Amino acid sequence: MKFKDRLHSAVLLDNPVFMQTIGLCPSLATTTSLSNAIGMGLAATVVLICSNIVISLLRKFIPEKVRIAAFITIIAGFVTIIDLSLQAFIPSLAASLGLFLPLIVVNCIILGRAEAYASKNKVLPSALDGVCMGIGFTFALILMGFFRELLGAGTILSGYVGADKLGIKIPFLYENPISMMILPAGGFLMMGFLLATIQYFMNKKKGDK
Amino acid sequence: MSETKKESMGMLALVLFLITFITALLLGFINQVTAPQIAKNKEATRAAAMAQLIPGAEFELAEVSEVPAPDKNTPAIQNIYEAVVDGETVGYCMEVLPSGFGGTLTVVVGVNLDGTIAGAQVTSHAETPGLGAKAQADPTWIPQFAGKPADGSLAVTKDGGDIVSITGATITSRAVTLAVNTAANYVLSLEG
Repeated sequence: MKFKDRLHSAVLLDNPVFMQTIGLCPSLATTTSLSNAIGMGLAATVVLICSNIVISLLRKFIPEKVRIAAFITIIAGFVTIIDLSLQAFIPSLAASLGLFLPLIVVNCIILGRAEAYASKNKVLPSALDGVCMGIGFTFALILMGFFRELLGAGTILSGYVGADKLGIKIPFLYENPISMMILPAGGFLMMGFLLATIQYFMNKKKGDK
Repeated sequence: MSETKKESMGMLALVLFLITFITALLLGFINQVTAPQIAKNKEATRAAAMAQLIPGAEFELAEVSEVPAPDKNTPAIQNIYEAVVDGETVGYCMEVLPSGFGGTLTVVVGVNLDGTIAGAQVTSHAETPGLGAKAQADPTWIPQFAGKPADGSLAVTKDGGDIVSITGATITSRAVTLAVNTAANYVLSLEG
């Protein structure tokens, strides 16, 4: 029951991207396609879980004054391990995530959870916190990626499905894509639309009560 | 009392050193394990690309004395292979590294010795998905290079040539075209 509540809170009420508005850089940069969004979300979730566990284990050992440096070293270590492993064993995913993978190091969600939660709580709750926040982050990326790819390229899941791996083509949109949506400007626009929509429903819900 | 001891300068340095040291050890180990596999993957991608460009050929690392130094208009060339069919060299394949929209692309270019382009393949890139990434993802775009004259004269339609650009990705199209021209010029210089 407790896990369910936390998951609900991380995905909706307290979603890191839509509610806390942190981790916006990767949310904007990597959501040009749905498959990139899923890959980035999962990679960040794995790093988040691993770093939460290790930081929680070491929380009594790391002195207050150098905690940020210690956290970043641990996070960067995990990111590099995952980067190298992906390049070695799943090269196609590593190729499509490319530059963004190393950038997980500076994802403020991961440092944020280390600082706000893992460094103050026991190992198991910290791991759970990593799972929930990771799912919340991935959920936000998937929403962004899905709509940006749909509008900007007229496809769904390009790179992985379809006979020529160009994805499921949406008849009218594929011929006339709104290319801006997969460029940086479109990222900001989509973020704005999604934030506004979510706020609208949140406020409506509050009004009902 | 123990608090002040834990927070002393020497203790801070020691803890931070231990954490970085253990992390570095771990990364060194992981690198040892994955490096051969990563090199193998890159090799396999290159081999697959070359086999598609000049089918049926065997590829041997070409012994070349000098590769032109890269400058603003000529991207770097690396890994030059001779394509050999029945003991005879029929062409060259090489990796050219032009700058695209989102960073350096790796383009494997095949040049036939009869003066035509065998083709090109983009093996790695950081271009925008849905736009420049189509240079690799869209199987209908890249084949247009095959059979074009290998004299370094290719250009996209916007620049007066006959290479049709990817919609919305002229910079990427130019980069791939430049890669093909660079390879062609290089093969010309080898013969010349």
